[in-house]
Amino acid sequence: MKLVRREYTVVGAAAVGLVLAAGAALFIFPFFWTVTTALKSYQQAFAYPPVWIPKPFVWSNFAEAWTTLPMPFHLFVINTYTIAFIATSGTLLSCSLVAYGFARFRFRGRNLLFLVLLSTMMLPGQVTMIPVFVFWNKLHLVDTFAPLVLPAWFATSAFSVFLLRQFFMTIPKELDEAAMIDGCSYFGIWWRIIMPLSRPALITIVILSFLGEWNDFMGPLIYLNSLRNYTVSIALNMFRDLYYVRLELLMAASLIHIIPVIALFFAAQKYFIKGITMTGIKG
Amino acid sequence: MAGWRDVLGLPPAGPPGLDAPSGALARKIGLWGYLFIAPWIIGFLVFTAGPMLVSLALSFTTYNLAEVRYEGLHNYSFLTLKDPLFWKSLKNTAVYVAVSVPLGLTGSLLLAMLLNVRLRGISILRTIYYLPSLTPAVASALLWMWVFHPDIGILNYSLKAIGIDNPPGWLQSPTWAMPAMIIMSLWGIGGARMIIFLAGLQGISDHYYEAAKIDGANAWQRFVHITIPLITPVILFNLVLGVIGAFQVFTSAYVMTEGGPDNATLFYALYLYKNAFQFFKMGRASAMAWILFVILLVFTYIQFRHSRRWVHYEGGGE
Amino acid sequence: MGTRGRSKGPSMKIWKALVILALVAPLAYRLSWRNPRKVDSSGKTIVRYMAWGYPSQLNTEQKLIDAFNAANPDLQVTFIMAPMFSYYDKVQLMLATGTGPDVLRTNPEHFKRYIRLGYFRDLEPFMAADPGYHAEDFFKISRDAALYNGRHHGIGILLTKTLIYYNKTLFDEAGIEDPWQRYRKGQWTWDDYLEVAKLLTKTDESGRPIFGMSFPGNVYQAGTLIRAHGGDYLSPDGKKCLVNTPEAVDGVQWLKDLRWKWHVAPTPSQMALSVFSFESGRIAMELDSSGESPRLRDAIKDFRWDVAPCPRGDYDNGAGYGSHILVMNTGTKVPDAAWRFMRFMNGPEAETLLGVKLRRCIPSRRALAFSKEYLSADQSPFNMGAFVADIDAPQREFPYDERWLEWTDELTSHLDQVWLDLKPTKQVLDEAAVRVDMILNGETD
Repeated sequence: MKLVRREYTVVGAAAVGLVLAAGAALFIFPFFWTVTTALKSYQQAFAYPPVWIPKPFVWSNFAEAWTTLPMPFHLFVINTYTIAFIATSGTLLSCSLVAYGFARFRFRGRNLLFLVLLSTMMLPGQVTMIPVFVFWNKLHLVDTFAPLVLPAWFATSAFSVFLLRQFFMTIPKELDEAAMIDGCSYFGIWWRIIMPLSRPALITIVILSFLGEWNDFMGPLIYLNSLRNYTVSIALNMFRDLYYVRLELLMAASLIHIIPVIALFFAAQKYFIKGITMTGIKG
Repeated sequence: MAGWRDVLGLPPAGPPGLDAPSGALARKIGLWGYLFIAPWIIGFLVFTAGPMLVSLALSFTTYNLAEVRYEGLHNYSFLTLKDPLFWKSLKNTAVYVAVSVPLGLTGSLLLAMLLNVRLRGISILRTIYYLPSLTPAVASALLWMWVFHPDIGILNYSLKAIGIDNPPGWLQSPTWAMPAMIIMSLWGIGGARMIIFLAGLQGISDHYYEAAKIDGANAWQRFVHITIPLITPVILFNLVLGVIGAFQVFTSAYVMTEGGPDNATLFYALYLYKNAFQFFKMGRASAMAWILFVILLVFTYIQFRHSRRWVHYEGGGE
Repeated sequence: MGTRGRSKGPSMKIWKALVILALVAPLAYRLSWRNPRKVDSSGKTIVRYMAWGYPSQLNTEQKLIDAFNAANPDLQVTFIMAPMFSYYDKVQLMLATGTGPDVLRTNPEHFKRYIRLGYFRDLEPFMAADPGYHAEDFFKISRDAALYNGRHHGIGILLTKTLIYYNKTLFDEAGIEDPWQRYRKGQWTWDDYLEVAKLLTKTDESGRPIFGMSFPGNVYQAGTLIRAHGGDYLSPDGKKCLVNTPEAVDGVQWLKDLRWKWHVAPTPSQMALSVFSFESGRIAMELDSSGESPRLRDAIKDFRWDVAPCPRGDYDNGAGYGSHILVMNTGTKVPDAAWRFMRFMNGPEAETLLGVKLRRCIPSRRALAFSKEYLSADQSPFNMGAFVADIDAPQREFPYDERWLEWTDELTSHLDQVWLDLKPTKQVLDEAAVRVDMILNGETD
């Protein structure tokens, strides 16, 4: 259902707009609350009746949240960014290759293997946590970023493989065949045909994977020991200990945690551009 | 192999091409296939298969993180026969899945369609709807606890304002705690699921719509005959993953209610966690994990099997 | 490829380059940090210490560690901090996989269990061999907290006490004697507590309630009240649950009545989100740990408040002391260095900072706890005497056995039904006793 302006009545468009705006108000409300609480003083944070707009704006909450823990917040952010970047790159690369394999090739056991892949999402992580930890410990890689980023390079995100495979399957085979006739290798097809045409799906993977890494708590909790390696999610949980104590700091820290991802998400939207897929076929 | 094809809902083999099943070419294709999925195979063997087998083995033991004792099927029989909380947590989770998944899917799809426009500022709206999913669970939980507060929360405040005198106790009431959790899950309809629907909608080429318009189809007809069929793969995707994810819901209950009141929000994954890390029964927890695994396997199989009837792959399937 | 980037030439390229630079720079920066390997290059012995705490406490401990490192150039203590809520998840994993720290802090609930699993060392040899260690410096409760089968497997640390925090302003406004005055007069029983609460529960000018007390319904508080009525959670041998004996039922019922009969305590829904927290000024009296006083001191600006010891019941419900324990990992490779650090963390300097100055804990050293500096306060709470009253009396500890976490979890979910007035008290407690007995007898293993 693609909205083309000249085809919709003003009333129709207005109705849709209203619904979206009302919904947006509802959806943004908790965020609004987080922002305003982050700017309150301690007393106002827990006041009842609730204080909607803090008086005054306590900007120093951010500075305080930034420096309350024994390491300044921006270092947590840099750690988290590093992990998220490396892991997301790995996911993007390995999952698209693997999804290509599943989507475009026939081989013995393919469907069975795909089911196995799916099934890896069905076992709760808590029970495999310890054996995996033992593995990394034997490699002396605990308290490094390795356990958090290396698996991503081996397509451990079954979700991403699944998503990309579904998308690749919607790309017409004719394009592959045309490329092969032109002398393209399988790898070339992947790089030149499949990947460019899957931009929306790839962007989706980047966003979701980055976000997943950014918010990941259990991984950093069990694999990182030194403060210098800690991520934002651990820092935020240390603030959670302060929930009844300094709610406004917890909110400020949450914002520091959220805002980079909001920016990423907002920027990535520009790449959800369609209309590129079928130009090849039409012409 | 034909049986497996059915399972995954794939149409019969297409015209000859990359999937030509003949001799040397087939072998070459097969090898290349393995090559491309090699990273996953390695990763699977190292990071997943081994630990999964270990956890399976542990499910037949009593393991308190120091000593291991073989117990045969004791864990499984205890859970299913002597543990009322096992069934309670399973029931709680089943209810949650049965209600939140369909509602969430419908909501996400509708939202995606509404947001699938090329208007100025649409990115801002999409970001706003995505915000809940960006918020870390801790901050979300606090916010929702406030929203659901029976006395000062915005929800009951609004209910009282429209004349409902005795609004529910939400997180403090054994009857209303689960509905509260479900309502909370709806807040995520603007999240990953919606983005995926959006990507799916974006992937439907304009030329289908234009061709239909030329043929005189109106907006509703275009929707029913083009949009819906072409995003069925995405619906299936979100459905399968939605069920898998909803069955493993944990954080919200862990942070907000710890399973109460009176075990009303004791989700399966939360009970598993308690067994593992509060009662130190890793063997019991492993058994719970494998029971869930089998349940999800069965569910997914059924979903795929049934999907043959309604999912349409544009690219010819394979 | 995309529809962007084709219109503008060079400036687009510069923009792209900048974006790439912005993306990669933090990465490069982070990866350029050297990760210190096991032993510091200058040959120091590394001691790994792990603890949790509010940021203010973590910062203080970090300062102490820095001071220790400076004073002991042959040692390097590294501090592993973990968020409170996830502390034991991490500790368990580390201990179970042999990657545990050399020294760590634990709470009494986990202490015995971990020793049974062989994780913590018997420290008596160290105590005997160390001429600077004098047992009589410390309070008995603090030392006894670290006992297992009669031998010390740790050092008591972070001593706290459950106290009554009261809103002095409310008492003065009502013109009645506050808990500290009553305590001094010997008129501070649970019945007095209830009477006082009734007097102070009212609706204020804005139409919102003020409660005499917050609801003391957690497992420790409920246990205290049960004991005050002559009952107990478990039999002395720890094999039978006594929560449905008439005395225990009386205790639980007394608690329930606070809310549902006398209405002097808020309901669970009212309690949610600490709208009726002590800091809000709407609770006249609250049962809470002494360790919360630093936070309250920061938070409360608009009324006067102070502390008093817990009331006594017809039976001994214990003075309410509790201590955490600093322990040494059996797997440590540097026991002597670890011992030196442990002695420091429990030494006068550390206790002065954490106990006397920060007031996060009660000093476990008699000299410090009875010092003028500790006992005289220039800010609330002023009744520092409450912190050390009965400190030498025999303790009634809770039965932190192997299965404490499991059966208290079970009991708590049953008590929920009482606190929410869903079922009659005796019925709930009968059901609870059956389930707890099953757990105690290992039937749920």
